[in-house]
Amino acid sequence: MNAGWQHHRGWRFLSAGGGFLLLALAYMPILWLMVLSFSERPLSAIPFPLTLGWYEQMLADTRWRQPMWTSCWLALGVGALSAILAAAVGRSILRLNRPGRVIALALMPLFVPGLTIGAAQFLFFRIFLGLRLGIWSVFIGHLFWALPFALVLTLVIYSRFDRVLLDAAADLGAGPWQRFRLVEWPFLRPAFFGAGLFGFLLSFNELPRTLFLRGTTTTMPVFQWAQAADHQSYVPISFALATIVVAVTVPVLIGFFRIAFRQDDRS
Amino acid sequence: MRQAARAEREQPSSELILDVRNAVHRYGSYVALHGVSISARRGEFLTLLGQSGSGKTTLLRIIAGLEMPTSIETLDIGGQDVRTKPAAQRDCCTVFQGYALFPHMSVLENVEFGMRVRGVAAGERKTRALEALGVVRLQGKENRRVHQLSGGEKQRVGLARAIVTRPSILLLDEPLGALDERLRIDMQSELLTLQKSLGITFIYVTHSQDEALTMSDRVALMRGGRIEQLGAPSDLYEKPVNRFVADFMGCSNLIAGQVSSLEEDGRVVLDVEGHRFSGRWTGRKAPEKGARAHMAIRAERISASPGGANQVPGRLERAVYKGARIEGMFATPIGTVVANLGAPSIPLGTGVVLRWDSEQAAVVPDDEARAGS
Repeated sequence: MNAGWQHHRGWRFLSAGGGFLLLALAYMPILWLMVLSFSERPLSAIPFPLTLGWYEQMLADTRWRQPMWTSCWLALGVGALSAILAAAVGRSILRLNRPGRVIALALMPLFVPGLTIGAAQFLFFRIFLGLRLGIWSVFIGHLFWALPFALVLTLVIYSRFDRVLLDAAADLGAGPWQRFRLVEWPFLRPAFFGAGLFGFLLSFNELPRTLFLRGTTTTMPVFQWAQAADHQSYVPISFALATIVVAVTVPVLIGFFRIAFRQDDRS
Repeated sequence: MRQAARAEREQPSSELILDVRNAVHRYGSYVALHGVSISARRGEFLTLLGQSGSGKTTLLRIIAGLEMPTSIETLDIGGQDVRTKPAAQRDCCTVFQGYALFPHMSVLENVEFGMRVRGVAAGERKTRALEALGVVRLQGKENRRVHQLSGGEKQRVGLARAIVTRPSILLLDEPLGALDERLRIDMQSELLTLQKSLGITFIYVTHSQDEALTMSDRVALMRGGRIEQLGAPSDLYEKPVNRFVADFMGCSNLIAGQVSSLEEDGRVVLDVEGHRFSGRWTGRKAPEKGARAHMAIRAERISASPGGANQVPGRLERAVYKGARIEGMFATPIGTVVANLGAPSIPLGTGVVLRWDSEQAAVVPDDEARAGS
């Protein structure tokens, strides 16, 4: 018996197949790029014969090292500060009587294009305030890019916290610092580290704002973008370089998911 | 069994452990407490009874220090002024509604918490915590996670966590509210036994008049941020000071009329549409002739047999089976009267004369009209 088109088993295959296709489209280019970074002729689209030559060249080359360090330090700073700020702001927001508007206001920057924000911040710092742009302005640009994400994560995780537990702790004799350390922090911790790692990734991969705010500073994405746009012989090395960037990003990403979405018996 | 537990306990001492005078609390323009005064003696079981919004939980939180009152004249715990002290420094502990156990800690860690933050050494902490878990019959469950416990077990952990700090006063906020009927009755007698053996003062918040009657030394019935009546359970049950108290304490017949005469022995005669009934006046102020009043008479105290100063003819309209009793709804010239039916029951439509003794009937004033709130 046919149960009608709505119940056709084909739907299940369509959704499974569609999902598989989307995942393949998402990951294939990255995997292919990694494979080709070991190819002798990477622009030929044929992996073989394999070689480590590009990696040797990359290691011998010193031009990318400074941008790599700059990006790493910048990302660490942005991750740490956005986690701290998001924890402080998130705690306060959830203690408001009507947090809705404040949350909306705080998250609005998520929806403004990066180039727009970058241009606006450039005009503000460089033209309006007359400051010399440099790593500090990139840091500020990245921080205000990472902060709304960190805040969302903090609000979602921290909203599971029932503040009657703080009453119970106070009632049992705990002072303000003990209440925070023993009762509140265990709930806040995954949000804190999750926000930090996410902030690291957002900063590490940020390009449009950086282009406006960088002054003479060069971050890794800026460097790669410049190289890729160059049509020079540098392209094969940038395949290897991109692979290294992925190798940095993926462990951080895995750490982020493990911390932020860990299922345990806490709640 | 519960009554037995009640009867055999010693009288609380005369030492005042809690003294609250003129507590006022406002949330914006809403007044949650209108100058409430209440006190408790050491070892007393005092119940704050009332519906939600009556101010009973607010009063409890003010005593605990979890809420700072808008104004308060006196707040002494154990003779010490605690008005400006934070919750952490008051000699009382709360058993929260919904338990408020720390979900990221084991049962043992929960019970140890109060001692841990006070810097009690680990060894002593564990000994005392295990002892407290023994008192609430949770031996062997100290390593469980909170989410592995049943509602009744969580309740016991909350209790153990509070008593292990040895407070002078235990504040209980609807502690049995989330439990099912059977468990609630078991826990009632367990709480009484516990209170008696520990000798701690219990301030117990509930909306159940049954719990209040069964467990308390004294009951404060609250409404709209005021105490309507404060007294022994039998006072509230037998001598309600107004219509609200009689109604809240489960009186099934409240017959409205006018005070028509005052007798010398303290009884009053109530005129209900030409029918006259007599009863004990239990209002706070002296009755006035012609004032609106109510006769409060319980279904179990009306009979269809001879004897009794008050009587009214009635016809059985409906019988409601309640297990231990059958409630009959009688149509009478003064409206519907509820009276318990004996066994064997009488058929519907039967005409009887309902009688009750004037000693069994309380006559209460109408509720005072209140300006403001």
